[in-house]
Amino acid sequence: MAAAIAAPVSAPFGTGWWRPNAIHPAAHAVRIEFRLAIRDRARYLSHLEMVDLLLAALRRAGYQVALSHGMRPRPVISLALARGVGVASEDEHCTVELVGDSHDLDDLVVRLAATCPRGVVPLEACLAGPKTAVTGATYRIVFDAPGETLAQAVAAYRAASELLIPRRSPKQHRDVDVRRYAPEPQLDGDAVIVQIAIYDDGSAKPSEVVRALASCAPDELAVAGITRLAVHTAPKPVRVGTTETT
Amino acid sequence: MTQLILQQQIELQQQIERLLTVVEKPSRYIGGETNETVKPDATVRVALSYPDAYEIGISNQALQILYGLINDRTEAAAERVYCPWPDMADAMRLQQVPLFTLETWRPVRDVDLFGITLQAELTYSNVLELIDLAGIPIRSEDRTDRDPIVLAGGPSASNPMPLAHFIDAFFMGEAEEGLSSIIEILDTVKGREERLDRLAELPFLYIPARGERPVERAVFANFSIDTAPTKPVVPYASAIFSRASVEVMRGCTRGCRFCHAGTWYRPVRERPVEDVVKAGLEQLNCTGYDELSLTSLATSDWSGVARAVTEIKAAKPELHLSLPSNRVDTGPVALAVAANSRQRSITLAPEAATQRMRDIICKTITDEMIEKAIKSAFAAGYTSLKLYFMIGLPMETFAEVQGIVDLGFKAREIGRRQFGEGGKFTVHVSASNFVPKPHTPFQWDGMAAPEQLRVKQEYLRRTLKGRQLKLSLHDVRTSMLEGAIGRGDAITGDVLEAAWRAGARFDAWTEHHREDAWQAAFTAAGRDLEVEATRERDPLDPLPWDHVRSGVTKEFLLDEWWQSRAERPTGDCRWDGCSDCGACVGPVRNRLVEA
Repeated sequence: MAAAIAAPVSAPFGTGWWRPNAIHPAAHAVRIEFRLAIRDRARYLSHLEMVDLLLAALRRAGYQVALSHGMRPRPVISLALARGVGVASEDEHCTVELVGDSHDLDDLVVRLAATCPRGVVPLEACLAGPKTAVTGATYRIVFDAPGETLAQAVAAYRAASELLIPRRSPKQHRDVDVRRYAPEPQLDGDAVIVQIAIYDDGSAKPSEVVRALASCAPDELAVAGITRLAVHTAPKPVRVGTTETT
Repeated sequence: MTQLILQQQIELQQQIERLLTVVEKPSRYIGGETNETVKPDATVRVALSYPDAYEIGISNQALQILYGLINDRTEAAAERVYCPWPDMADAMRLQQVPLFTLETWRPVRDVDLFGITLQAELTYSNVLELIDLAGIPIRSEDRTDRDPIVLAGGPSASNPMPLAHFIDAFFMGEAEEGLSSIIEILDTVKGREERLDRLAELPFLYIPARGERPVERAVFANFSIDTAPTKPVVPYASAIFSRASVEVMRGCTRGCRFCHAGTWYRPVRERPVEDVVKAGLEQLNCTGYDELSLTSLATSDWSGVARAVTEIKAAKPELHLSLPSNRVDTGPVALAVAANSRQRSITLAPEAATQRMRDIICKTITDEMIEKAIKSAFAAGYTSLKLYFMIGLPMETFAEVQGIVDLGFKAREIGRRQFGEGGKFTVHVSASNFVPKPHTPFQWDGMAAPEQLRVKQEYLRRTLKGRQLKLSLHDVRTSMLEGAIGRGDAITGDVLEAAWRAGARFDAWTEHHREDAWQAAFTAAGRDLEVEATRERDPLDPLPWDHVRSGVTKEFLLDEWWQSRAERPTGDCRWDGCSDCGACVGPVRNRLVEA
């Protein structure tokens, strides 16, 4: 779905960080969504580092990223769901507006694969559809613990009515009921598959699910790795009285 | 045996992965950036290190040049290592994880050559931190065949004595040509002592264990005809500089008497415009950067700058092209506008605010030139003007400090005439503390006393304030430390070791600077930090770095020192005739390109 971006009233004239070689918003751009995997050491990159890395990889591949409107235009690129540092992923969703009337999507994946650093693997690309909301994600958490300990932990977790895990940050101190967002972890060999929902009032982090499981385990539970298997989305509800714009 | 090594490597990698889950910014340690090189079968392995955090070290152009040079032009493999942040260093010690290279996560101790660049004295405690984390004995004399040769280079190596206990070999000068000789020796000679014996034959290497013989600074005479690097490693987002950069010129002969680089990198060698444009555009394609910087000690002095700006902007009109290190003049302001019409900030460095002091330091600009440059900067639409000065210079009186205040207000007045009384613009005055450097005409001068510097800083704080004005000052404590180490001797090395053992590291970072550790270390060595920093040296006395021949003669430096006392500037040899500094020998001489 090619989307034409409206011409701005006047040229943006920002200061500070902005990147002038991304194209002016007056140009035509195509909104593209591509999926990628983040493996090996690349999982230690932060969300912002990943966005910056993808922008540079797109530029090396010869694409120009469109800029947003406003006084401080930014490249139009987003990752559907922020990923915790250290969490690998097999299903990252990146939406980006690329300058041009059309792009060969298979070619984009090939070219991007050649310019991404190791551990960042583009999988497929498609034209972005209507905007969606992220409703949750599924994770595979591998433990370095005896199978019996893990099984007991999962059983106790599922039997609990609530599992409060404290969340401490400079801005907030509160207890999160992890079980509310991730009610049914499934045992899968030495791992646990867990779907974590995102509600209007928030969500739980995979690391908090790990802490909740550990609190249910009879012995120590050590984590060997966390991988995001899927990001779940649903159509974004259209608010009455407003108009969707692209 | 191979199986055992493989097993050890896997175990080390697992240990590192465990640490990465608990430390701040793990991306500092993962490597894997675009344009990194891995050569698993190389016979000679080199670890190149910058003794500071990843985001500082990865932005260093010199290390990027050497990394590309070793990997692309020799059979050796160069890998990178930066100083682990204290949280990581503590965790590594606790878990007994040795310092590792980013590319292969293999122990630094296993390489043949551990190269450390010395860009600033305040990183010296991190040099010891790196060596210790690698599991290498701190002192050279305690090392065995099991340890790599620890080599240091970079501008601060010009006084090697404070680090002479800890470094096996110092590279004096520019490493582009001499590095291959070192790698060849490492490839063909085995055994630590044998290697050091052979390395001692190279004229540009100072090997402390082989005595204080004269060492000649290496000059890369072919800089002008050598191709500029085009594939630098692209850092992750946290780096302080995230842009392509081409070195357009090496050396500067303006002769500012406080400037170490102005002596150490003589003579001037310029790169042809065609090569710069080609390398710049190639680098943009290879890196994905959207900004290109044309770097040198004074880019606006490069003969090809106007043509290069025109050609690069013609090829990439939207590119953010930056020209750092401009002289104070209207020409460079116009150039900066042409290079990047959207940038709103410009930096001018008068260094001193009065004509008298500019004559003393040999900064050959006038009040009229500065005023014109400020006017043209505001007229061109710049809304943030940065003015750099130094305080504590030799022969400074309070009139010089008042001059900084006056010039700050004058700049604001010019800005107000341009943008209106309440206009949105800023005059940012930065005043750093003068620190005398070896191999400069001011090497015999002492720093101003700390209380003097604080009084001057307080005066600036009290007077230079108001709307549209900003002031930034440097920490006096760290400046004094820089001064005390920079002109230090072998005993300073003992002080350094004691301070590091007491917890000093990351001294350039105020949150980590340990004044108590340094004061105690100086006292234990029977010295006083402030006395060492402020002490004047007698021109007749030998200096700790006298055996290092920079090319510029001591007679010339002394003559320049006398000229400064007479408040007389010296002309630039590019335009005003040879000043007989001694830097031009044989094929090594100024090489300018046609504009």
